[in-house]
Amino acid sequence: MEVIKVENVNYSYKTKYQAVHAVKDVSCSFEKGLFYAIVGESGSGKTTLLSLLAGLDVADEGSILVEGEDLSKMNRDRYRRDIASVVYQSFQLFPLLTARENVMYPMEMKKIKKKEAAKRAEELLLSVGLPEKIYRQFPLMMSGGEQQRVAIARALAAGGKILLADEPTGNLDTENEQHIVEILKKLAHEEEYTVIVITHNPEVAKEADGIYRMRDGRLSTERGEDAPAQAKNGGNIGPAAKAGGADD
Amino acid sequence: MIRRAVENGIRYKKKTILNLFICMITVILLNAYMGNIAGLDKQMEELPEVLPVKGTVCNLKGTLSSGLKIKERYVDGILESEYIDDPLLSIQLRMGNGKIEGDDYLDRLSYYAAGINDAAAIPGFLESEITFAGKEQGLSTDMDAQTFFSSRERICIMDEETAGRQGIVPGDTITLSTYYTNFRQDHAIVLESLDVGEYTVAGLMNMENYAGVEVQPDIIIPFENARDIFYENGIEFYASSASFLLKDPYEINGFKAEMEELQFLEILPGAEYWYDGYGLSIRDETFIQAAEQLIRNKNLLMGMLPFLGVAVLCIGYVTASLLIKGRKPEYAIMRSLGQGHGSSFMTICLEYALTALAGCILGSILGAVFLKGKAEMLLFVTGAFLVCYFLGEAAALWPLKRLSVMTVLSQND
Repeated sequence: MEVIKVENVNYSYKTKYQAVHAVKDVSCSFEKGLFYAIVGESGSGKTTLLSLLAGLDVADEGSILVEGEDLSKMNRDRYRRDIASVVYQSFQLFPLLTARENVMYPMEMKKIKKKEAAKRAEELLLSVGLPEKIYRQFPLMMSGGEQQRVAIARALAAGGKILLADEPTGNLDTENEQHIVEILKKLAHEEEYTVIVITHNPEVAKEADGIYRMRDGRLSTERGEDAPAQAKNGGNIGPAAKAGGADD
Repeated sequence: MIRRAVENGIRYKKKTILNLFICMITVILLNAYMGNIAGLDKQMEELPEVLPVKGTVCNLKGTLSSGLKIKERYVDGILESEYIDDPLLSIQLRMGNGKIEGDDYLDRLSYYAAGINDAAAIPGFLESEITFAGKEQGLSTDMDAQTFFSSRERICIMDEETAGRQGIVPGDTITLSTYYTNFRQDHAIVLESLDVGEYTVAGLMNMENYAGVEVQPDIIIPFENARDIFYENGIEFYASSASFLLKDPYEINGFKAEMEELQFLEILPGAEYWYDGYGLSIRDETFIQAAEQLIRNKNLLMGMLPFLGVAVLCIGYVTASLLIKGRKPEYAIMRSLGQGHGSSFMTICLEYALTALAGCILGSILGAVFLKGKAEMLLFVTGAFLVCYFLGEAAALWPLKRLSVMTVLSQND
């Protein structure tokens, strides 16, 4: 089932000296229950695309349809609150909130009672494999892997079924990287999340059900050696990028 | 949102305490500043009492302020003026016992007398130096200073020693011949008979600190009574001295205009030496100097007020800018989690605003305790501070609204 459909999206931003055409005529789609990777070099536009998918920016041209509804016409704050959550490379937890409080935050935004939110937060922290002693710790007291798990738990707390991650393993060691990827895969395959991960790590990408490659703002379906998952899934990596987006 | 702002304030203890302290100190300084302005206002208000402006009628040359011939219209002008307080008037007379006739008056005029409207009209004379008579001594009423000096009856106060020598006691009625000084057109000064009449002794006086330049009076009669005696005898009345205080020295220009209308003249040191009293000496230099200094100081402080407002605005701006430093990711996380622009902005804004409010209240309390600031001044300072501070704070935090969430959150540590 197609959850996100990107159609001919263009996006430019202005720097002090010039306008940068960061996303060029990108079309793609993302299905429910699959784990996607968007790979590409630094500056290729993948983070900008994620920003558009998260509703943090609005495409200049084209459309992003979420379950058939045009994202540009939706209340994008509500979209991030209820439907899509973002996980970042640097975890981006509230530094002066404990692990549990960080996870409770999105629920408190939705006016869920504190007690109920605390209980749910603990369940989520447990589900991402964090021990109880972590709950009352502040982010700076945790390891990178622990922080990223808290960030994932917080993303899940919102209750939406789209999880966007920007280099979620970028600051982690191999062991933690594997754990995080396992969690993301599990979310996609067992919890039916649509997980879209920006990464330049081939080890992460190879675990994905579908791989897209960004290059100079254009998106293409990855079919090279970086996409063993494609083979693993019998070539079923979701809809192929449209001709306009292919640059390989 | 308020709860979250308070919680954040508690979490960021050091920043909160710093902000609170800055606001508190600023408000105390503002209170001290406004207290200075209020103090100047009070000084200006009290200046007429501290430095009263005294007017004295003199001869035109300015050399005489008693023993003058001050025409009645000047006297009435002084008494009726709305600008004048506490007029002190006197008329100097000579008196002798019994009925005096012929040329032997020079030998028989044994008393120096004065008609006055207030004890202070005689320099150094105090009301407390008078012992008044009353019903016990056969008077129709118990006499006091106010009753005596406003009376139009033929009553008098005698020097205690003089009365004792002559065996006169309060309540006695004595016959007195009264002479006045006639300043003639040909510049001759002569004593001329004014009246013969009976006076009831309404009290005795013991003038110990007399400071006048004339001979100390032996007998005092009410000023208006003296005036009546002139009328009764068809002689043009005049006063010998007149002085007064200005009711409101800040209205000195109006007063001067009125005195000009009455045809009082400014002192002319080169004028002819004579006894006509129509020169007016006003001792206003000290008052004017002091008042000008106070006004200058107040204007300076008032002139600085807008700059002070800008300074508070800058304090709000700089404080908020420094406090928000390092907290942009926090704002971006809120936005990333779907908290609206306004809500995210207000969460941070409110945190600083509540701290500023607490600092402001604390500063006001300390201002009230240590600077004795009045409630209305404290309220004004609090209001002005909060408006300026919040504007500065809003200006500092406003760029948050244009923050690119992805740019901030995608930066790797």
